[in-house]
Amino acid sequence: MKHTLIIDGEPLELELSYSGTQVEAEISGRKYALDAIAVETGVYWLNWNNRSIEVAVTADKAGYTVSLNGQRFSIEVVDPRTALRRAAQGGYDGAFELRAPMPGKVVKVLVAENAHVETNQGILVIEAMKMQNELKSPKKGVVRRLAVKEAAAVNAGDVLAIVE
Amino acid sequence: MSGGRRSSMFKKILIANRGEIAVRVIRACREMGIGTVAVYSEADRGALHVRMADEVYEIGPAPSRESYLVIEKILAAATRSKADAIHPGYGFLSENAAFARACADEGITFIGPSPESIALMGSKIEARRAVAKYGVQSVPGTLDPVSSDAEARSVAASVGYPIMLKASGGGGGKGLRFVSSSEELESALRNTRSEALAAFGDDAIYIEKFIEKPRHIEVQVLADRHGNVIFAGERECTIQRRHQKVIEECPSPVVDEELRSRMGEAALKVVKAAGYYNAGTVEFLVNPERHFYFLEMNTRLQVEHPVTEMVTGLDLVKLQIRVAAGEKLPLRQEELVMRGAAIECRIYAEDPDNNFFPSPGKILLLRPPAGPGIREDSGVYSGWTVPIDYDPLISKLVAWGNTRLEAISRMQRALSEYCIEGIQSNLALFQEILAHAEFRNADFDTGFIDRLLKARNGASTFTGTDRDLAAIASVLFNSQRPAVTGDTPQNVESAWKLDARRRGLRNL
Repeated sequence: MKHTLIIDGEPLELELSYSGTQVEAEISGRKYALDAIAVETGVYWLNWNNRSIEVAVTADKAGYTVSLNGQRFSIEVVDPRTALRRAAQGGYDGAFELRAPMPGKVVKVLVAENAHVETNQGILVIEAMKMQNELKSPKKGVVRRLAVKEAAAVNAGDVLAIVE
Repeated sequence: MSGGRRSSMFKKILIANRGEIAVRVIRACREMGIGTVAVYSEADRGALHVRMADEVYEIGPAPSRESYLVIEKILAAATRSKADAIHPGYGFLSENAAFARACADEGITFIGPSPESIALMGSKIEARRAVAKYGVQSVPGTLDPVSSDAEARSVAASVGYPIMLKASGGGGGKGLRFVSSSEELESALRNTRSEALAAFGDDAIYIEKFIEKPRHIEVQVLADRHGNVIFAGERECTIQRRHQKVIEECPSPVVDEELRSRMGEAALKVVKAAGYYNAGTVEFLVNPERHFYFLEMNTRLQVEHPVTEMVTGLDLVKLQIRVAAGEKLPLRQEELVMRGAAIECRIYAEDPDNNFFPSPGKILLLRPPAGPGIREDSGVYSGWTVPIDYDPLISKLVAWGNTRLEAISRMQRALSEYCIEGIQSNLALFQEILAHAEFRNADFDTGFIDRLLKARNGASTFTGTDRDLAAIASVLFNSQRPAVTGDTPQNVESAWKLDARRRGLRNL
């Protein structure tokens, strides 16, 4: 079966079939045959060309976080059309809601409403646990709304700005 | 040993703390057959230290100033539970003289030094004045705030540039200014004064010589109430980020027997100056010429105490409890043996890709390492949500080896076994530090991590294969295949249905 993934913002096509624990996969012409066993919830042990590899998969709001060999990948399994659209918009389609990662205080607003922003451009700075953290736009677009002002107290999950 | 005083040992100890240090104290109590009482805030319902204690008392909302810092609530829990002593851990009320005094007033033993020692060592200037009487040198500078610019100029000239201007009421890295030459002094004085006035309501500042390429080395001391004092080696705490320790070692790779005994003697003089008993730590700055300067005394158990325990074989928490119960120290200085080397990594819930911002949240998967030479002092478990309200330290990983390099290899091996998912952690940073030539050669100063982070390029080092295998695993997980998960088919919904439902949720 064919699957479309967004891995760290980039689309990836994956053909995968299995029988028992035997998995066969193909990614851009690269073929993989491996043995895969779920050894713990969310932990897969892979035997790939006699290499022993452990992969941990956890689900979060954005999709999956996948760790192996000390590296982390952010992966979403999506339908192909969504993948194309998102790839064109730096991983996010439609309006992106910038949310507060934790309770804190807005110490600086770096852009004005309706400003054009580039991918990774800072939108505002919040302070929490005595540390300042610049929140960036994950996509190129226009700041449609700034929901907070400088010195505002925010709670985790509050929408701070919308980039479209 | 002092078996004769056994009868006065505590029956029940309340731990006025949370997280890994509360767990650490509970473990010591359990080994000694002493009952344990945990206090906890609303955010810590179900926390590990609460699960492990014999008795538990909820003491209020999540913010520590409404729970862990409220003396009356802690004393009320101690009275209700009939605890005969309180261990304060570190942080929170551990260096609060008023708390120590309030415990005494209630007839409860505070496991730590006297309120007077806490108060004396808690004031930077008073502490320096007190140790100076015993001939212990602090960083050259003024003991009193400078009264005029002219005085500042003459003091700066006498200690020699570069200097640091420090706000008397300062702390946490605020109200500090580096001055490299006399030309900069005037404007620096003006700026520091106004900053100090704004931040602390007091524009008093004092002057200190700036120590170049400093190392931060501290001496563990133990004193009983019968006049016996020992120092239990030193700890190297130079690897810091934002004035916070990240990696600690025992012994310090730059301290030899000669320097150790000089620092130990100085530490014992500080103990005398403070009239100190129980466990404490004397912090020094050491320059490349091996001159050391008294920085401050921490009048409590240190976060990094396990490295000392691994190398000396002492159990510092048990010794704290025994000394507090009136027992004599069970060993003399010459009986202390240091063996091998230990390293500690402080595992924080923080995001290395986002300026090490705290990353609280639910731990979805936790597999701590084990095996030869490894000790882990953790305060969390798989399924626990690390609260946003407290310090993001989740665990301390300690490795012991016959040599420093063996301890490093064991730590590297342990870190490679360590698996934390669901939250971000600084695990990967430790691998970078431990593999770094400056660290391995012990050739570092307090600026090491800042330089390392600056030199680090953002490009990740993953291979295409790792990325492909990650993609394969995510599809396997997404499909929830019965053959792979081991679930019975009737418990498993169609992958299509699950996928459709998830997408539906995402669009809400």
